[in-house]
Amino acid sequence: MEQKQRVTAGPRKPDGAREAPPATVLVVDDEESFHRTVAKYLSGYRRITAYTGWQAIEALSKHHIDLVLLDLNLPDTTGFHVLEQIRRDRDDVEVIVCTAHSEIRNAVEAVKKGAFDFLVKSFENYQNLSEHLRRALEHRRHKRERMEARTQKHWLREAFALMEDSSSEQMQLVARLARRVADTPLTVLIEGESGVGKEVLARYIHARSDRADGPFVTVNVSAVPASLLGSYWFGHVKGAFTGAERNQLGKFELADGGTIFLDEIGELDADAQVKLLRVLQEREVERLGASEATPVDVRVLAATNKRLSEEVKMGRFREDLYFRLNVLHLTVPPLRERTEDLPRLAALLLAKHAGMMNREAPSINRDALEVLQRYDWPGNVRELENLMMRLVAFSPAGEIRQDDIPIEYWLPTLNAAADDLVQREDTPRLLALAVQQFERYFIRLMIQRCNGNRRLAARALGISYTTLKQKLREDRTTGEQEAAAAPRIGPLRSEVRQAADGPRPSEPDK
Amino acid sequence: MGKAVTADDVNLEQVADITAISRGIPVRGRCVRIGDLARHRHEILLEAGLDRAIVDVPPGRDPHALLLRALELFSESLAARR
Repeated sequence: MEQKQRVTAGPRKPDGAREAPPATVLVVDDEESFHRTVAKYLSGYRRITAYTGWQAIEALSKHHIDLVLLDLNLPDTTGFHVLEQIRRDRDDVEVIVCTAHSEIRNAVEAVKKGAFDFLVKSFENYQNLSEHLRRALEHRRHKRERMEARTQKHWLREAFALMEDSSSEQMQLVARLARRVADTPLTVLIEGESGVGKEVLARYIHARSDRADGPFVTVNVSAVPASLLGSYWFGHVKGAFTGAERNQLGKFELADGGTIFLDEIGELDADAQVKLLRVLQEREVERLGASEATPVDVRVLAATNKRLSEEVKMGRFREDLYFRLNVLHLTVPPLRERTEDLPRLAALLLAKHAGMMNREAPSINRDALEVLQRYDWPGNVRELENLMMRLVAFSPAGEIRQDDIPIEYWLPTLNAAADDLVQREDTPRLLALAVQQFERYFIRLMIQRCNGNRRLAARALGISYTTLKQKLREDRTTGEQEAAAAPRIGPLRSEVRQAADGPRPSEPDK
Repeated sequence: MGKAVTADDVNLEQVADITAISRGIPVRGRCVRIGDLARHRHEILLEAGLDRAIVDVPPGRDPHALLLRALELFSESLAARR
């Protein structure tokens, strides 16, 4: 029987915006009547149905599933076997066993094997089904949050270590200075392009300071509308304005005993600059509607991607505030100026996102790294992180190779190859190489877009399925030949070398 | 017995002034007390050529000790930028 999929769109908010997508429930049972019954109680969920154990396992590998409603009696295997497999491969999926057999030993075994809940098929349980599902999903969410917090903590520790042990002299200098300033109450201004890791540096200073056990509160200045800034920073008392139903602490009070990190400080408007100046001078805040000020013990770290001194010259930033923020000035270098760190950083980010997706972290090979090291990273570490996240999500293999790197990262490599060939006054095959590279990339992209369905991808590309298979075979052969040649510089550079030296004896003339 | 507060005590009183050459950069650091005797705070003013910085000394901190530390780190930070 074919696996079926029914999707219900998420409910809409009153303003018409779409809410978070509904959770996906995989219902595994061989009886059509059960699927029909359950469908009535799962109206708020995305539902996928499977009638056999094999279909269930296949659905889990193909779709994003949050929860499985699993029968124990299946035509091809037992529900326990499916449960074991889910627990072995997918720690992020919750399972509720739902069976007509109410024996206690089944319930005990199901829970022992990692089911969240055990339900006997009955009218009463069907009616309470959404409550059982809600509890299971809540449990899953907590588990996921704990895992993400662990991964984030681990990632920060590793990022700190990388900063201290950076291969870039400039980064080492920044880390050394950050360590020395950590244990003082002095204000630090962190400058650097977007995405270089200014917040990581701020967290590093906090973690090395005598306030490490206190809170670290991040405030993105540009994200708060000017009209709300007073209440957001300093809090309010009950009744201060319409809708202020209770006392509310502001960010500065939340950071009491710790550090407040003011990101994008260059975006602060004139009124807010005066308010911040006062907090720095007086070390106290006044909640909206309060009659007296509250003292706060907060260390201020600020960051900007602007040249704040230029903003002062242009009259857009108060000089007296600038002097107070710029006591110690640290500039985080852009990623293109510390590409020596890229291999470790890439490995770290792959591990971080693989951890968050509950997967084995893939490795990244030398040739792929070489392409990445030639790229100039306008979006810095944030851009690298986004790429690594994509690679973890879309590269099922254990190793990331050159071919997995999207085409937009190839341009500097192609430029370098072009320069090389021009200098050699050779008759280059550069265009052919570039076209070949693009073709490889585009075919893979289209296969991904078609969820791995190669026939569909061939149709979308306007080529026959046989041609597609042929191209993939050639691609694999090229990859294997490259893998055999060690040490490698990468196909482009080796092709360039080959073009300059003439064809290798072992290879047939083209 | 504390001194009675008069108009002369309000405003600004310099409590320290140091000039040092740190990392090859001449830096001047001054510490001033602002406010009356009953309620005052300290500010540290740092100058190295055209570069200036102001440190608001948190309550309970020894301004003299912080002055020396701030002077040293300010010059180090400038040296790193130059």
